Amino acid sequence: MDVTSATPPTLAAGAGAGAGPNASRRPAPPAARATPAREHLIEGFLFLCGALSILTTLGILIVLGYETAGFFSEVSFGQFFGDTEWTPLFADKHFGIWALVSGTVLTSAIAITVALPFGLLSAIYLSELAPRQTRRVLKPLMELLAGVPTIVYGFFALSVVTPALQTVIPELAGFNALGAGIVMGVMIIPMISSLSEDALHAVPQSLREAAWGLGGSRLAGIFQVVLPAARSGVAAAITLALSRAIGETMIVAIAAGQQPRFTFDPRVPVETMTAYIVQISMGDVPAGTLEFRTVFAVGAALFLMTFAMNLFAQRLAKKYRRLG
Amino acid sequence: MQTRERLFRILCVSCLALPLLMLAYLLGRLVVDAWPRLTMAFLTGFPSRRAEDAGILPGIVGSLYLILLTIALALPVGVGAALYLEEFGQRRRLAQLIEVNIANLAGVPSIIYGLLGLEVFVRFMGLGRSLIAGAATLALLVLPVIIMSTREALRTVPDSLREAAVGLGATRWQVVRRIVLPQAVPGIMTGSILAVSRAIGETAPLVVIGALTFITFLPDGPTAPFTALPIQIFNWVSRPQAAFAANAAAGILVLMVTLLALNAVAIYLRERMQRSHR
Amino acid sequence: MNTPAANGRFEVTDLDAWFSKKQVLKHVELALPARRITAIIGPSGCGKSTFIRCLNRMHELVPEARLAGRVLLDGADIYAPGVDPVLLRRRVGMVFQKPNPFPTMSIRDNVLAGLRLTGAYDRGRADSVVETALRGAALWDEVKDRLDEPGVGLSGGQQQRLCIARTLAVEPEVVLMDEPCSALDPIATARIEDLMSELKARYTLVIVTHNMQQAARVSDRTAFFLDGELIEVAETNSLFTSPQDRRTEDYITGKFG
Repeated sequence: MDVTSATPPTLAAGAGAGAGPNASRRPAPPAARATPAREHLIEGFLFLCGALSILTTLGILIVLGYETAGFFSEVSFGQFFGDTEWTPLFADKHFGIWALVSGTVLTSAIAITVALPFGLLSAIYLSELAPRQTRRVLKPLMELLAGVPTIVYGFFALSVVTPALQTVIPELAGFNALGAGIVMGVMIIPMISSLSEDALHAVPQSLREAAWGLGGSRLAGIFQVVLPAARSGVAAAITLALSRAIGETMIVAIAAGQQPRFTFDPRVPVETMTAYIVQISMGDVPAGTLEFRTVFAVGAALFLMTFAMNLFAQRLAKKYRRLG
Repeated sequence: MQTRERLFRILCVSCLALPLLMLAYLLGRLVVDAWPRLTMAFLTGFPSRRAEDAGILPGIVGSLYLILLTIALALPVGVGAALYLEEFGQRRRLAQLIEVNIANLAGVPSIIYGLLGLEVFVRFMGLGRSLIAGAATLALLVLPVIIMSTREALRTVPDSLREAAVGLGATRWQVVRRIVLPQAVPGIMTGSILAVSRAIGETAPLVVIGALTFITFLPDGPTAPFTALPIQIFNWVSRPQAAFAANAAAGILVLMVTLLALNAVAIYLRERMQRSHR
Repeated sequence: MNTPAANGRFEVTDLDAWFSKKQVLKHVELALPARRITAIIGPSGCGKSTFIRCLNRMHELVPEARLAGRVLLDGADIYAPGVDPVLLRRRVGMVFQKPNPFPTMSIRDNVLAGLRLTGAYDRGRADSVVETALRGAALWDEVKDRLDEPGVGLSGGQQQRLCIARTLAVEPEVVLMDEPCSALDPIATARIEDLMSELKARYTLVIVTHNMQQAARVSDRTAFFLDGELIEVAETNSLFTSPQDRRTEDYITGKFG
């Protein structure tokens, strides 16, 4: 063992690819190399493409952080977190984020209540019960639901679903959390369905067979063995869908109203965090003013909420992948 | 089959069918509402204060420009990033960081991208409320979609082909350029179409960066102010008069037909790809 | 045999190889003479594929793979600093277990793939390169009228010969074959074996095989690997008739593996 040092060197990167720890210690006469500078240039360019995603994240953090810091130099945390009224455009200004958070939570909760049973049962059917042929037809159809632009859903919520609901609940306002929430639920059904189906699919067939071998019925197998085994994956699906609902904008901006109020009554107009951002953007608020900065403070709160949920969902998803 | 299982099966099928039927009903009503407004004058007209005179041409043209610019910006970068992650950087910690980061970006609400675009493209880079600022914002938004579907496509290229090429003395880039990319083209195209159909219906980020709602001219370059199909629809949806609701329905129909056509192409490509790789 | 003029002679000294923590080759010492066929035999997982992948530096492409030791090709260390593995692989060609013609390319383009990939493509010479390589791989007569059809349309045996032609077109000095017949039927196997005997006039051949009869039929020398160690190497006849090591004897008489 005379050429290389006693500890075996890592050759993974290879001198030819020109990267890695060895590259710098391996100068070579240019004539001996088939790997021209072009190769390094290309790899560098590809790396920059990948790095752009990091820059995007940094950009989001800086933009939100900078403007939010400006916001909090004028408004105290107490005013932001300790108030339930949100009236930054009025003479009597209040900055209680809870008025917007409650609108967001209310519409998202309605959405998930609608989407969870539909999405989960669809997933069980597609993964456990449907014949292969049926599955091949139904899966893309479900994806169609997710492909409809949210502005279209917003139009439906306002012009079809709310009037229909008003025939049953006469006191329902023209803009309300209920109609918007239900339609948002329909929008996230495919998300819950397809992610849950992946989780169910990852449960080893041997577990099902073991359940059947013990004399369990198909249903018992599904509910006592398959679903519990896939529970972290299903939980990840629900979390991601919820995060999607929280960040959803156009449906609620169109159909839920623009009246920030701290309430959990689904029949009255509310305003979500996203709808507030749209409302201000549609108006003519000059950059640099406090009113302008409220948009970023709300955006930062929204970002933190969805980011936390996405991270949590990724944790959960990792767990079920390890199991599968 | 047990009765209980049969009942459960029926329940499941209804859970699947109900939302689909609801969508079908809504689309049916949409066609009925939109039909009377869907005239040539509507498609080639400019916005107007009077609903019956209003047209959607600036929206269609704006969306077209916007999408072309978006894809021109996002496709090379997205494919490049996917190539870096799949073919070049797998073993490096930085690549793993980028990978996690992309997964996170895919979950960021689109309106947040609007805020990013407003500050970075519109204000900081001084592009103003222009087509190019809108396209750059949308490009960042669809980048994760393109990256993820391109990676998927790259993974379907069997390693044996890479090995064969390496065994013949090809450099990494030669392997990628001559062997891997040609095979991954259908997958990359599917991803691009998905990205386009995502971008074409996006409204919130464009509202935030300040697309105009009332525009009586067509954009004459990338730095021109613009409107887009969904923005136009949003504007009509927000009007209380019923006549504008019919306009909104007609606009939505145009949008949906475009999307359906795009998706049909994407599904066709996917099927073809699956057949050729079995 | 080892005349100085003949190129493509390998000398491997004290070669160790790892996949992350697992050592898959231990202190291998082996010389591979030029213009002869050396067969590498041994049970699955004994390190024989890893060994030949160290000869064209493809082992290092696997993440976590490492190696130490010295591999000399015509007296020059292929792991020396400044040696470009890409250039090395043009001198040391490789044929893989499963035929892997490039699916988007015609027969002709497959043969030319190596030249095109590496930028050594010369339009004027293309026709003669294709014919020479295909003749060299004993495929010319079967495909000369349909060079523009896709390479994947050929039978398994023809595909493998196409892969050999593709390797020959780069004009290597050594051809490594990693169980080249394991995916083929007996008739196709026989044709490839005939081809190997023809090829040794011009190339150094190293063939990994799990088929002892094949090693006995085609090779001049045979090396027996077990658990990452080289147990025995000898002229093929003597290895199969009078193995020196007990483990070799057990293996060739079918006691394990």
